[in-house]
Formats: sequence, C-alpha cells, structure tokens
Amino acid sequence: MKCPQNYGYADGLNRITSAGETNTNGTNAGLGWSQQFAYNDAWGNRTLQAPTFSTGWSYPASFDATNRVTAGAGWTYSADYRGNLASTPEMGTMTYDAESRLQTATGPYGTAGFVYDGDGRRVVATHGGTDTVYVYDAMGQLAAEYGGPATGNGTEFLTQDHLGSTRLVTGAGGAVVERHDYAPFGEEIPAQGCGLPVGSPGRSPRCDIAGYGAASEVHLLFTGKERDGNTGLDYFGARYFSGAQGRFTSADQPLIDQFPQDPQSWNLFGYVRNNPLKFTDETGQDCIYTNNYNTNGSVTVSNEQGGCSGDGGTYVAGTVDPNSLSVNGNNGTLNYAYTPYDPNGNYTFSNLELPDPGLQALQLAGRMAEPGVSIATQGLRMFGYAVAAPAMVAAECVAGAPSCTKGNVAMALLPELGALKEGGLILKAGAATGKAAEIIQKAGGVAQAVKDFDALSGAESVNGAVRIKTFSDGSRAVLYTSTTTGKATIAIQEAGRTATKIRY
Amino acid sequence: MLTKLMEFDGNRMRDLVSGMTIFQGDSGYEFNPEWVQKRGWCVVPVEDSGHFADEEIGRIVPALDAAGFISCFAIGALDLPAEFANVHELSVSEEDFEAFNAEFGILRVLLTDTGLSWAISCNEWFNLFAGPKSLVEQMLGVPIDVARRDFLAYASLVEQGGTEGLLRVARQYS
Repeated sequence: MKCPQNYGYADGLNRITSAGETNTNGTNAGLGWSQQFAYNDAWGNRTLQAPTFSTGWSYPASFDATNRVTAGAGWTYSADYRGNLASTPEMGTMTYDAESRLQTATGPYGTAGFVYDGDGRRVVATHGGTDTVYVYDAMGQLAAEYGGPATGNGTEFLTQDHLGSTRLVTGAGGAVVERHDYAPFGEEIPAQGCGLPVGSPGRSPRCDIAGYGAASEVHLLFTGKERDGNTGLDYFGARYFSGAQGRFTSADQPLIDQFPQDPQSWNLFGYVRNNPLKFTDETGQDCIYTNNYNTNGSVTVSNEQGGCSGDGGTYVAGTVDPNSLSVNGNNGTLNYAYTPYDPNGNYTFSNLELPDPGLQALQLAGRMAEPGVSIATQGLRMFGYAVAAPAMVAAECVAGAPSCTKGNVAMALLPELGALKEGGLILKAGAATGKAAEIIQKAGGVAQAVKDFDALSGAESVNGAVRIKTFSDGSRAVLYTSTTTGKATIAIQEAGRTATKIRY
Repeated sequence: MLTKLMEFDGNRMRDLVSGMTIFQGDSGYEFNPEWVQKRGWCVVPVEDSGHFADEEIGRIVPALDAAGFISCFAIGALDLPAEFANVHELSVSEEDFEAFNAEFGILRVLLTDTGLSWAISCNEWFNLFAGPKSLVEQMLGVPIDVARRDFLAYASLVEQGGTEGLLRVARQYS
C-alpha cells in the first residue's frame, strides 16, 4: 500500500493547517483524503474545512469570547456556563459534576456514566448498564480494569508510534490483530469500502492489509489514551478530548500554563497549541531516573509521573517522552526528549551528563514516590489531575492554614523556586508530610549558585557570604557560598516550612 | 508565639552563650569542646530538616517539658543579614517550635535556655543536639549511638561526591 501523507503548517505559528493522504496504488485513486484546518482567532480555536473522509462527526464553527463553542457547521452545539460541551449531535447530551468532570452522556450510542475518585481519576465507567472498574497503582498509573465487555483474544501486544498512539496490535503468536492510523487530531482513518470486491474504486487499500478495519478490542488509541466507546471521546484524565473537534470538551485549570505572549495558551480548550503531530498532552511525567547505572553494565532508565519524589531522580522542566529515554554507554550521556513548559511551545531535545561515579552509586537508592506526593505537581503542570486542588492549597498555605505545616505546602512553591531544581540530581527526596528536606545536587559550583540566586526576584538582604531573598508568598531562599559541606548551598523554605537544599 | 527581644536583651543572650559556643563562619554555632567536656555533655549531630520535622518536635517538646523548661531562646547567627540576626524567645510548645521552623528553618541559629542547661545549634545541613545524655536521648528518641550512626549514613549520602564536610562533623562528634 502506498499512501503518502503530507502535512502543512502555513500560518506561521506552527499550527497544523492541512493534512492529507494520496493513494498512489492506482486502483483506488478516489480514496485519498485531506483535511484543511483554519483558526478563527489568535486563541487557536480550530475549525475543520473540507474533510474528505467522514467520521460522522460534526465540528465547531464559531466561538465566543471565552473560547466556548457557540455553533457547529450546520449542527447544534451548546455549552454550559462553565464552558463544558453540553450537547452535540453525535454525543448527545452531556452532564458534568461540580468539578467539570464528565458525568453522563446520553445520545445515539446509548447512555454512559462516569464516576471519579478524590484525585479526579475515573474509577467507574458504565456503558449500557455494564460497569467497567478502573484500578490505579500508587503512582496513579492505571493498573487493572475489571468488568466491561469481554475480549476474546487473550494477551495482546501494542506497538506505538512517536506520539504513543497504538498503531499495531499483535496476538501472543505475533499475528497482526489490529492496525490503526490516525488523522492529526486523532480521528481514526477508516478502511472504507472493505465489503466491495478487491480493486473496486470505492475500496480502500487498507482493506487489503490484515488488521485494518477489524473490530477493535483495544481502546488505548490516540496518544495511548482510552477512547470511550459511547462518546468517541479520548479520556485524558479529568478531561475528555474530541479528536474530530480538535479540542477538549471542558476547560483546563486556568492561570497555570498561560503566557501573555502566547495567546493560544489562554484557550483552555485547545490541544497542544494545535501542533498535534509534534506534541502530546501527557500526564506530567517530569522526572527521570537511572537506577542502576554502571553496576552491571546495563542501564535502566525510567521516568516518574508528575514529579521527583525519589532519590536519584533528575528534574526535567517539562513532560518527558518515556519512549525517548536512552543512555549512551560510551560517553555516559543520558538522552531524553521532553516537551518543555515553554511559552513558545518549543520542543527540544536535551542531553544531561550523568553524575560523577560517586553519585552514580547513590542512584541505586532510587525510591518510588509516596502516594499523593506527586499529585500537586500533576495539578500544577498538566490538565489531567487535581483540577482545583493546587490553587486551593496554595491559598490555604498563604493564609497560614494548618495544612501548610504538613508538607503539602510544596504545592505552593513559586515557579521560579521550582525552576531552580531543573537539571538537579535528587540526592535525597523530601517526604510527603513533616520531615525531610529535599536535597538536590547541581553542577557549576559557587559560580552557578550565585548565578541561580541572582536570577531570583525576591527582596534581598545581604551580609557578606550570606544572602537572603524573601518572596511575595513568604517563601525564602538563602545562598550560603561557604558551608560545612564545602559546597555552596541554596536553601529554600517554602511558604510554610518544607525545605529544599540545592548543593552546587 | 515567638517574641523578638530588644537589642539590649538579645546582646545579653549572645554574651551568655559566648563561652559555650564557637562561631564558625561556614556553619553557625558549634560547641566549645572545653565547655562541653567540663559539663559532661553529649553533642550529637542530626540531619537538618529545616530545622525540625514534625516527629522531632513531637519528641523535643515533651522532653523539655518533662525536664521543667517553659521557654527558651533562638539566637540568630551573626553572619546573617542584620534583620535576621535577632534573638527570639519561644515557649516550649509544639506551636512555638513550628513557628520557629517557619522563621528560622533555613537560617543558622542556636536554641538554648537561660540556664544553658541544653542547646541545639541549627544550620542548613545539620543540627547539633547538646546537653546531658539522658535529655539528649529523650529529645532524639533513640540512643546516642544510633543517632550518630544515622548521621554518618546521612553524611555519607551527601558527601559521596568526595568532599569531607559532613563526614568531618560525624567524626568530630562520634
């Protein structure tokens, strides 16, 4: 099958403007497809123009000043006062709970209901009266699924592309069970006309390849997110994403990832700044570990969702692509790719030198996160979890509530103080509650410590080698250029009392 | 509640502790070996947690309370900027020790009572618990030998890069 695909970015903002596929095998020339995307405004509200394959989905056509959908192209849309998409022709009527989590969907495909736990994770999905129960591990990763429609193929293996989308499903014997291709925003490219004779003009070339068009038993599809059978929406955590509409059905938590110079960041419904082949909206995996470097000739590189809560991790200021982790054993370089929390949305590759041999041994002490530790980071840095909690806790801490003394004040850490940790190796993790200052090792010595401290914005007091900066929320940072350890140290005390020490 | 002393009273407290301590420019207050030896004190280094963890406060306060102490003083190190190099009085209560953490958690400071019956010197990397062995063990919650072993493990963790600093402290107070 030859089906070259082409993508265009013609608007100067790295937003995708066109996508298409040309069927060149000569027999099915009519089954190529194309999509033209237009953006109505600076906020990146996307409309879809001239789609040449039909997924049966409508798409938005106009938006109000708060980026809510006001009308579809020939369809009726409505949104509630919080901006949650309340009805569309194909999804029917949707209701949301007080935290804007999808609660029910009643439409042509039946009725679905969803239940969430206290951390905002979906724990029960009900379709047609049948419950599917989702169980999560201590790290918040989906660990098991019970109930729901029975599958008959036994163990299956998923092969993913660079976005984490499932492209190939194979059985235990290696036979292809399913294949999936996607349009840029995640709609599955259909294998049309498979009932027609081979060579018929209306028969897609995908019909001639095993796996396309098969009834899908795998629901982890676009970027590895679960596609809901009733609504067709992809479950990204506390919100759902509509690939056909190129946007989320409810708003992101505001004032977390917004930048004055980046209007699209203010669109709380937008998806990865409309550059979906380059970025994914992961769940805040922002720490990497090299847990057994140099001990047995091999290296296990892993990453942690939502924070660095174990010893031996390295902070990354963004969302790590778990498929990118590798180590060059010849030069001791750890390679990884991540999506930075960058107002311009630049996707960069970074190299990080592994620490010196003495510190490598420390990495053996790598511990897993304690439950709950990383929730705050997730909430602060991504859309998926703890939608309202971080802001609430931060407010409590500023007000000096008791919770501020119990460790969760970490949620209120000022971004510039948090950024100090970037690239640092965790010698000792902080604890979720009470004790334990976090200890981080950074390179660069006194000069780097001074440079980092100079970059902080707080009001400064100085006495010789000791400099103190106090911040608007009561946080404090102290630079000691001379310490017992012989290393310059920046000690950070957040607006409560959780402490972080960065040793240079 | 922490009560900031007037400068005159603060200076009196500094004078009071001047024989007990040796001010080290890179760590704050350490203890004068002669003074410690003369009184038969134990000095035990402990990992700093900016400065006291909840569970430490839960041990220190009852230990001091049981020994009859009602209040103590926090003496900011002289190398701090002037507005932080103050002396505060605090009661022996969990509330005031938490307030102490909030005010001095990453600053170099000495805690002691007016009778110099015990003292805790805090800096950014470790705290030195000093006093009669029984009181120190009650504050630590473990035998002194165990506390010293714990500190050695902590010092080894931090100093694996090859520097001597905290290992020197561990040896000095072993």
